[in-house]
Amino acid sequence: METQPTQAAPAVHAGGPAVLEVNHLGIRFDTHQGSVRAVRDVSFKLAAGETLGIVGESGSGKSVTSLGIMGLIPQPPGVIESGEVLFDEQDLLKLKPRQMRKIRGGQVSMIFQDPMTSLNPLLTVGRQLTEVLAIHEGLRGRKARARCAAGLGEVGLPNPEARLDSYPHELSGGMRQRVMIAMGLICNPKVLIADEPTTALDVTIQAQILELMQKLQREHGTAILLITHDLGVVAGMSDRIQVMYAGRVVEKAPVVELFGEPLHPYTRGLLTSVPTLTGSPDERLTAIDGQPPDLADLPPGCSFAERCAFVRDNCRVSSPPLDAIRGEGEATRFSACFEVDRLDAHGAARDLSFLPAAQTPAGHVPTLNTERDIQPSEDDA
Amino acid sequence: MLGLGRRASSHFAKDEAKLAALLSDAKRFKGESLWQDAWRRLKRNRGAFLSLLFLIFFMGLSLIAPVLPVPSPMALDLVAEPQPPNWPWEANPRLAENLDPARKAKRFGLYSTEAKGAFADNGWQHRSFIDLVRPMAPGETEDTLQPAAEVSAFVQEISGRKPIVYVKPGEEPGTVLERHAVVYQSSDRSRIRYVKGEQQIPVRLTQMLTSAGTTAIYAEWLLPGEPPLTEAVEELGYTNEGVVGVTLPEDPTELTGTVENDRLHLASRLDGKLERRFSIALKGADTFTLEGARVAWGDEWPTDDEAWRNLLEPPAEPESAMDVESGTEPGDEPEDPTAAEPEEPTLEEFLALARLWTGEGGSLQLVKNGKRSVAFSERTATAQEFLPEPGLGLRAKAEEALEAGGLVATLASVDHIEGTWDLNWFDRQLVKGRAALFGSWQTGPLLGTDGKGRDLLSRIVWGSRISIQASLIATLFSLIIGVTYGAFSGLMGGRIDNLMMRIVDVLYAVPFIFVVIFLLTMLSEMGVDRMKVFYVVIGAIYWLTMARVVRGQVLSLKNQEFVESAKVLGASTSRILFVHLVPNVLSIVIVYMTLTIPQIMLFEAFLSFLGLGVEAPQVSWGLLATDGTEAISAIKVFWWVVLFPALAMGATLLSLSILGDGLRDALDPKLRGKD
Amino acid sequence: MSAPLLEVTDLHKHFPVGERTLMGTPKSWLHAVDGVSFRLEPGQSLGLVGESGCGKSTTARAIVGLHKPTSGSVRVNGTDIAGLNRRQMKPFRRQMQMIFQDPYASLDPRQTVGSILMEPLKIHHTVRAGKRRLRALALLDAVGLNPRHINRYPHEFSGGQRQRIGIARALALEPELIICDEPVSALDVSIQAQVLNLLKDLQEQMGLAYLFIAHDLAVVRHLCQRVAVMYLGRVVEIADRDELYTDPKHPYTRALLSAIPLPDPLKERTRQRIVLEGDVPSPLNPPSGCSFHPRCVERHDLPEDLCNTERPGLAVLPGSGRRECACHLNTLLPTAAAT
Repeated sequence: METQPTQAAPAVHAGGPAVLEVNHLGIRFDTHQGSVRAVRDVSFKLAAGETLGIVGESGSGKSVTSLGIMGLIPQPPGVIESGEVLFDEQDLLKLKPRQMRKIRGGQVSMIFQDPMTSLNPLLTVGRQLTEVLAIHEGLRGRKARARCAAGLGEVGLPNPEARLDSYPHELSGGMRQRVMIAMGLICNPKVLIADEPTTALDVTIQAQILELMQKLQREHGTAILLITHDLGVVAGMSDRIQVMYAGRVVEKAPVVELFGEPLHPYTRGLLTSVPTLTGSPDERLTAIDGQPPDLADLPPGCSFAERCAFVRDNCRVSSPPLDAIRGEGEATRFSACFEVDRLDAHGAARDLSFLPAAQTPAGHVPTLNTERDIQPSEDDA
Repeated sequence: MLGLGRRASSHFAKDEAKLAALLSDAKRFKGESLWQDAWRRLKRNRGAFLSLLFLIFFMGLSLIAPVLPVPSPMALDLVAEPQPPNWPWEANPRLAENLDPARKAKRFGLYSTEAKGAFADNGWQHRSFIDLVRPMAPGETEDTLQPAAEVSAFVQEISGRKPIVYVKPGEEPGTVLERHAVVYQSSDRSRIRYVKGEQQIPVRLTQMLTSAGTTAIYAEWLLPGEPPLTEAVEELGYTNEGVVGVTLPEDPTELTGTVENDRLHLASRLDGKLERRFSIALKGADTFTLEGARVAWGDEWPTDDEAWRNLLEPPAEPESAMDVESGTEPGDEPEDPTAAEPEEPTLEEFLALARLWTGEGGSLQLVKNGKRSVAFSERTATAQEFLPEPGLGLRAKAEEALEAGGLVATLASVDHIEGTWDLNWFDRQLVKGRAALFGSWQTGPLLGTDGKGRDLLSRIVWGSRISIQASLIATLFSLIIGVTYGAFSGLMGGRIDNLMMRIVDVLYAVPFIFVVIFLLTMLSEMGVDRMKVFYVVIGAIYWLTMARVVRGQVLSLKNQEFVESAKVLGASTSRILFVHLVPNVLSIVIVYMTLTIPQIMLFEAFLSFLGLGVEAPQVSWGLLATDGTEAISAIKVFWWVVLFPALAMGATLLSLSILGDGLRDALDPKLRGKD
Repeated sequence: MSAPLLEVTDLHKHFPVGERTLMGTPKSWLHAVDGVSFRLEPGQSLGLVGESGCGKSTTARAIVGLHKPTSGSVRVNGTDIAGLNRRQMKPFRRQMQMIFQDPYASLDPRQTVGSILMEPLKIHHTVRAGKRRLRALALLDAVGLNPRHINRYPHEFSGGQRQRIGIARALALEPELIICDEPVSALDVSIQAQVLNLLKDLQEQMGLAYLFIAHDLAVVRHLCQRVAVMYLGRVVEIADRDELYTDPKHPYTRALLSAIPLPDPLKERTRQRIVLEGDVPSPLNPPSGCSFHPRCVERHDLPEDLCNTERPGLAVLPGSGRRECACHLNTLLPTAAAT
C-alpha cells in the first residue's frame, strides 16, 4: 500500500455523479435457432464507492450485461442492439478496440467467476500482474514489481514478494481469487465488475473474499458491480440491487427495501425459495413453479407470466415497463409489474413472515459498512 | 439374504389404463436424439453438406459403374498415343460407324468394337462368336441390314442364350454376314473346360538370351486366318525377372496357345489354370553383326567348351539330330574361332545357319568381341487351338443343326474370346441392366483415353471402386479392432490399460511403411491375394490411432456421472461398455473415420504407384497416377491423363476433409442444440 | 430402536498419489476419508456437510461401491457390503440408490428418458418387460415431469428437469435409502427449491431415508433431521439438526455457520462473522493433531500443544446422548464449548 498513489477518495456518497451509466442496453445473439435477446433495455447508474448488485438466475442476462460493458461480447454472434455505456463522459460501446483496451483492466476492471481458468497457467503471478501495470501505466521493472507485491499484500496474501514468483497452480482457489482481485484493483479502477466472484469458492473462503472486497472498497472508493445468483452475498455486499429475469430488469431497489418488501413476484418468489438458517426448517420452501422461458422464443408480454401467481390476462399481452414506485423526490424503487398494487396488499397481508428481518424495516438504520445509499423505506407496510 | 424382502406393493403401480393412454399420447412428444440434432446441424453447414452430397454421388457412381454406358476400363484400343477428350456430342471414335476408313474396313476385325459385341471390349466375359452367312432378304439393301429373326432364334436355340447380333454385307453380293455374340456368364464357369480344338498350328519358339540376362521368346507361326496371314513373329512380353509378374516357364514347350483369327494367345499352364494371357506385340527381326558363333545340341546349355562347335566352320559331317526333346550328340568338333568368315550374316541367315547346324533343338551362342552375348535355342512347339467347351460345342451343334436343314444360312466361322470373369454377382446384374438400358451404346472418351487406348472416365470411375472399397474395408477393420481395444483398455484402466497402451506405442514405433511393403511382397509371393493383404495390413496399422482416440474418450467418459450411475444401478461391464460408452464414443469415431478414409486412399494410391497395390488388369487411382506420370513427356503433354484422375482424387479427398470437419462440428457436444 | 438402515463404521478411503516405486507401491497416500462413522435410521435423513475436499463425496461413493473402501465397514440392514464385488453387491443396489450432482453429466445423452428410467428395471428384472415403459411413465409422473415426454432426450430438458429424471431413476428400484450427492448445488435458486420440495415429498410418501451430501448448511437444514459436519476426511461433529444449528459445539461448525451469507441485509451487516484464516490444508499432508488446529480461532483456551499433537476423537458429549463432537474444547473445557 505504501507505493500506491493515495489518490482514491473514499466514501463518495450516493447521489454523487455516476461513474458508470448504462442506458437502455440491449444485446442479442444471432444463432441459427433465431435471435436470443439476452439483455433487453437494461439501465443503471453506478456512483463512486457504491455497490450495485445484479441478481438473477442463469440465463437472466446478468453476465452478458457485464461483458457488454467491458466490450467483451463476441461479435458475431453477439449484436449490441441499443443503448450506451457512459464512463468518463464517453460511450464505451463506441470506442475503438484499442481505446477500449486502455480502459479495460485499467479504469474499469473485472473479476471472473472461475479463478482456476482466468489466470494463465504458464506465467507466474508476478508476470501477469506486472503485465497489467505495463499496459495501463507503463510501469515496468523493479517499480512494477514492488507495486505488485504491495497489491498482493493488500489482498491478504501472506509473503507477497515470494508469491510473485509462484505459478497459478501452486496457489489454492482462494488465493487465486485474491490474485485476481489484486489484478483487478492494481490500477486503481473506478469501476470493478465482479462476475460471480465467490461462486466457485467454499463458504469459509467466500467469507474471506467478501470481507476483503468490502475492505478494499472502503479504502479505494471503487464502485463495484456485483453480479451473483446468491441472495446472501448481495444482501451483505450491495447498496442497491437490481433483479434480472430473462434479460430484463424486473426490480430495482435499495437493498434493505428489496429484501424487506420485494415488489415483484419474481423477487418475492426468489426470496422465499432460498433455504435459510432462520425460519422453520420443516416448512416447505415456496418454490417458483415452472422453468425460465427460452430466450430464443420469448412469449409476448411479461416473461415471468408463465410462472407468476399474480398473473392477469394483461400480463400475457404486453410487457410491463420498469416503473418507479412511490416516488417522492428521487425515485429509488422500480418494479416491472402490472400488479404491484395487488402484490403490495398481498405482501402486507402476509406480514412478510418469511423474512424475519423485514419486520423491522423502517426507521431502523443498521450499522452498515456502506450505508450511504440505503434510504429508509418511506412507508411501513 | 437379509432385508431383501420387497415391499408388498409398489408406489408406482398406478392405473395402467391411464398410463397406457399416456404412453400412446407420448408418441406425439417424441424428442430429437443427438444424432438427429447433429444431422440437422450438418445440413445447415453448407460446405459439409455439399461435400456429403458429392461423396454420395461419387460413391453411387462407383457403385453402379457397370451400368454406366462407358467403355470397359480394361478395353485396349491399340492406337499409338493417348487420345484427347471429346465432347459428349462428338461421335464416339471407338464405335464401328465412326471408325476411320482404315480401321472401318475390318469391321469385325481386331480393333472394332462391334466385332466383339457391346461388351466385346469390356474384357469381362467369355464370348463365342458365330458368323453365319445368309442370303439377303427381299427388299433389304446394304444400308438397311437387319438381323434375321430366324437366324437369331437358331443361335439362341443352339446356345441357350440370346445373342447380340451385328450384321454387315457378306463377301458375296446378295449375302449378309451376321455375327452372333454369345456371352457366357460366370455361372458357366464350371461348364467351361478347355479342350483341344481341331486346328494345329506349328509354332516355332526361339529363345533368346540377351547379355542383359533377360530371356525373350519369339514365336513364329503361320496363321490359317482369313484373309490368310503369312507369317508373324511375336514377342512374348516378359522377362524372367518377374517384373511384369510373369514367370518364364521352365520349359517353353509348356507354353500352349490358342489361335484366334489373327491373334495368338499363348497361355501358361504352369499353375494348372489357363487364366493368364500374354500381351503380344509385333516385333521385327533385328540385324546384327556376327563375330563368331558356336553351336551345341540339346536343350541344356552346355557348360564345357568341349560341347560347343564353331558354327562358322562347316561341319565335318552332317548332323542328324532332329529330336526335339533331347539334343543329339554333343559337339565333336573343336572350336576354331580363327576361322571366322568375312561376310556377316543377318539374323535370318544366322537362324538358317543355326537350323542347318543344330537341326531343330540345339543351342547357339554368339560371340561378339570375344564375349558370349546372345544365344538361341530353337524348338518347335505345336500350338493347338484350345477352345472353351461351349465354343466348340457351339460349332458342333451349329454344324449339326445346319446339316439338318431348315435354315438358309451357312456357317462361316466360330470363334471364341476369353474374358476375365472378375465381376461378382452384383456387378453381373448391373451389366445385365446396362445391356437392357443402353444396349451396345456407349459414350466416347469424354475424358480422353490413356496410353493404351483405355477410356479415362471409365478408369476413374472403376478406379474409385477399388480406392473407395479399399479405404472403407480397411477403415472398418481399424474401426472394429481400434474401438474394441481402446474402449476395453480405457474402461479397465490401471495396469491393463498401461500394458495395452505400451503395446500400441511399440507398434507405433515400427516403421509401418516398410512392414507393409515387406508383408505385401512376401504374402503375394506366397499367392495370397494382394488386396486382401492390403486391407488387413492397413486395418492393422490404422487401428492404433483409433484405439488411442477411443481410449481417450472412454477415459473421460467413464468418470462421467452417467456411467457411475449405471454402476450404482448394478449394470454389468459389457452393458456399460456397449450401452453407455460406445454410443457416446461413436461421434468421435465417425469424425476420425472420415479423416482416416482419405489417408488410406492416399496410402493405397501410394502403394499402387510403387507397384505394390492393385495389379494391372484392375484399376485404382494409384495406378492412374502412375499412368499420369508416364504420360508426361517433354514432347507432348497429355494433360488429360494427369488432370482428370488428379481432379477426381483431389475432389474426393477435399470433400472428405470438409465433411470430417463438418461432422466434428455437428457432433461436438459443446455445440449441442445450439446455433 | 430398530437396526439402522445404514451403519458406517470407521470407514477409510485412501488414494495412491504420485509416482509409484519400482515395486508398484505408491509413494504417498491421500487420506480422502479417514475414519468416518455414522448411522442412519430408516426413513430419516442425514446431512453430510463440508467444504470441497473434505471427503464427503468420497464417503458416498465408498458406500455405494463406486470406490472400494480401504478399511471399515458399511452395513446395510445389518449386512456388511464394504468390499463386496459387483455381483455380490447387486442385490443391495435395490435398497440403495444414488442421485448425482451434475444434472448435465448424470444422464446418458444418447438415451431417451424412457430408456434411462427403464435401465434399472431391466438390470434387476423387477418389472416385466411389457410393463417397464408404463412404470417409467409412472416414475416421471411421480417426480413431477410430464409423462408424455418419455421419448425425449436429456438435452431437451433444463437442469432442474434433468435432476428430476435423475431422482426418478434412483426411485425406479424403490430403494429404502437414497444417497444424494449435492443434488441441488448445480441448480438455480428457484429450481433448487422445487427439487428440495420434491425430495421432501418423496420422503414423506415413500418413507425414504436420505444420506444428503451438501456444502450448503442452509439446504441441509431443510431436509435432514441429523447433520454430520466433515473436515479433512473426518466427521468433526454429528448432531440433531436443531441442536447443531442453534448450538454448534465444534469451532469449525461455528465458523461454517457464520460464513454463510444470509439473504437479509440487516442481519447480514450486523452480525459478527467468524472469518477463518487460510485455506483448507491438503489431505496429502494433513496437520498433526487436530486437523483443524491451524485455522482454529478458539484454541487459545486450551493447553498450548494439545491441539497440535493430539487428535481429538469423535466423542459423545456428556449429557446429550446423540451429540458427538471431535474437539478438545468439549472434553477438556465443557464450559468453554458452551459459549
